[in-house]
Amino acid sequence: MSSPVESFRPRALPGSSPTRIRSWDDALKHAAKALEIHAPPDRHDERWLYTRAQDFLPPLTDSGEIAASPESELGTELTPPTSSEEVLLLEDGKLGDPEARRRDGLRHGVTLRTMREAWSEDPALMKRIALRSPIRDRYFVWWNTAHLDDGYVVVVSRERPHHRPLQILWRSPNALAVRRLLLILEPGARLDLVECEAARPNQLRHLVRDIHLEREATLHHALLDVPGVNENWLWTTGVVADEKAAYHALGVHAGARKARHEICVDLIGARAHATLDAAVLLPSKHVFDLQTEIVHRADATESRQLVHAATSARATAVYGGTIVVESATKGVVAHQQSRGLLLDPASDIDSRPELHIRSDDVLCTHGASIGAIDPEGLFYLQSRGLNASQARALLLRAFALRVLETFPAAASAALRTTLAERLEVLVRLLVPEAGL
Amino acid sequence: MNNEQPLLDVRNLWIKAQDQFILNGLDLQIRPGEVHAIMGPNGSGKSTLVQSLAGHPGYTIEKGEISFDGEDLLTLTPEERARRGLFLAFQYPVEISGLGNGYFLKAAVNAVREARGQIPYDAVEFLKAFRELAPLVGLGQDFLERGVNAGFSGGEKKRNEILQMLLLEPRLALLDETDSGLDVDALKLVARGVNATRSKDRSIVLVTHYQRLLDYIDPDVVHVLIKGRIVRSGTRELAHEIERGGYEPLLATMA
Ligand SMILES: Nc1ncnc2c1ncn2[C@@H]1O[C@H](COP(=O)(O)OP(=O)(O)OP(=O)(O)O)[C@@H](O)[C@H]1O
Ligand SMILES: [Mg+2]
Repeated sequence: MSSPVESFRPRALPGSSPTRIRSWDDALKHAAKALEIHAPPDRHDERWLYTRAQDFLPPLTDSGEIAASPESELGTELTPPTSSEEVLLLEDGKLGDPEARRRDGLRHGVTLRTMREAWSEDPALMKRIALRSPIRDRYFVWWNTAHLDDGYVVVVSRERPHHRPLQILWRSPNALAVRRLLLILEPGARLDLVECEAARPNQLRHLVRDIHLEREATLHHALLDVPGVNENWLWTTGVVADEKAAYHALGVHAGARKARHEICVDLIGARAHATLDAAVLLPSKHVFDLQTEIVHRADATESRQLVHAATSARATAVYGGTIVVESATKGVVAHQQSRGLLLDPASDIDSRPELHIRSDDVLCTHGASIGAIDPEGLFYLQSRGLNASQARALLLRAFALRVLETFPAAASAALRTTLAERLEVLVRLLVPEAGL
Repeated sequence: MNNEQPLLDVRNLWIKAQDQFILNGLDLQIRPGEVHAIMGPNGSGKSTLVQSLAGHPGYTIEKGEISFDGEDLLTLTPEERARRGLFLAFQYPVEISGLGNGYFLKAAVNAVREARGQIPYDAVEFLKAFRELAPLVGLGQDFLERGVNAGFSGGEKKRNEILQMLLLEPRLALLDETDSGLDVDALKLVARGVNATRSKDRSIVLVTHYQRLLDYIDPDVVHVLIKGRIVRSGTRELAHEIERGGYEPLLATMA
């Protein structure tokens, strides 16, 4: 019997070996073939209990084409973050036209190419990277590849001064938005990245990001979503961290009608490090489904996960956190903690840790708690003159901001400010929502 | 003792928590400017009394009256009591990590100032007030950045309570075992904070187990609370008596 984790892992694809991919066109063909052979994940997979594959598949016509999608109404406009000068604007998955000059502007140790270009320029590198991606054999990654015009490859060298965050802004006027990003940090490179997706009402969005951190590379990654109206979105993120590389992600999420983020991290080099933290602040009826998987494949690798989720009426926050420690690894440390705050009794928080420890030399802790606003905290604040709703709002704010406290101090001040501001915005959004 | 109207007037107070009577007909009058000490064995109801005065929702008032400055306290929410000048320094201050202590102190002081018709402090004015008062209890500016009581030592939490008292300028301060767990120097600091706040129209209740605190803060009255009732009231000498002989002799006279 195979464990759920194994079934989640790469499988050989009959008739279309990924090892034969030599170009972007090969990759497209391989993905199309894979879609023919494999069915979308269903509810027998425990990771798909709250969001379903159908939530992220566009309606098809009788002939099997994606139903023509009218341009949707303009929705919540995302004001570009201001704390950095460098913004990579990707409109409808392509480099935004008026901003095309930005492409040359990305000078500070960053280069940008399309995937097609990258495959034709350096097929060996692209192939090496494609083969070690922890998400390469997922249904929705094939789906993404098969429905993509092209994707972007961003390479960061160690020349980049890390205190200047790079911002990636995804926008699309279309009802279906399919995006792809491959981010490579060369040995010793450091990057602070703010990535943000703007919303349009009724939109369906797919984003696949592959992140490759070479030796001693460090990425601080702020992941922001902007709540719109009636949209569904799916992010699939794969991270490979080589020796002494560090990946630090903090997601600030408001969710959507159906929103899901799968992050899969492979710690393949000794002393590689990952933190996957998230503040999930859901307005009424919103869903956010976070599925993480961290695989410790080398000695002295460390991971930490901290997820705080607060839910308003009829909202659903889901966290599935899987930790795998491979056999024969030594000195692995893995911590996982999730806390749920039910702002309304008619809301739902589901948190399930899954640990697969195959080594003896491991320090692993995990904990999950779910509750309402702490009445003693509430009374304490009221006894200082704050009214009940001010006190609840402060407690919610504290709950949200706590995830920022443990974010690595090495992250730039600009990145922290962006995250703090985003958290404040979502808290303000939630306060009236939750009847605080 | 003066003959003014009591600032706090508690009459025949009966209080229950989870179907058990904890206070059994308690009477207490405190006039403006007075300092009262309340002593009593563990579990006698001291915290229940002061928490109920502050409006803790976990206690049900079965019987009795409490007036504060002539107003019925029992009809007021905890925040209304605070805004009218009632302050409780908690025996166990609550930790709220993620909420910056400075952010919290400013929000609290401004909530109270606004309710009293005073202009709220802006960031600069607040910092000025903090810098004036924090040294009295030996807290530095780094305490503005840390989470409320989060990871504070026992003594730091107690000093943070006194700092809040100084900022909020209450008319009646209830200090629940603020001296417990303090070293001698911290005790002196806290006493200095309390003495700094003493004035003819500010009253203070010190709940304590040790007469040592009363060496630094001289009380007008000392009460002994046993089994939910004040069984004796006297002068400082009563505190010394308890220090020497414990509560046994008093319990004996009760029976
Ligand atoms: N919310 C509550 N529910 C049930 N019992 C309570 C509650 N609060 C207090 N009690 C009980 O009431 C009694 C008095 O408690 P209280 O905390 O007032 O004592 P205290 O005099 O402050 O003691 P100490 O000196 O130990 O602080 C104790 O037996 C306590 O267990
Ligand atoms: Mg007590």
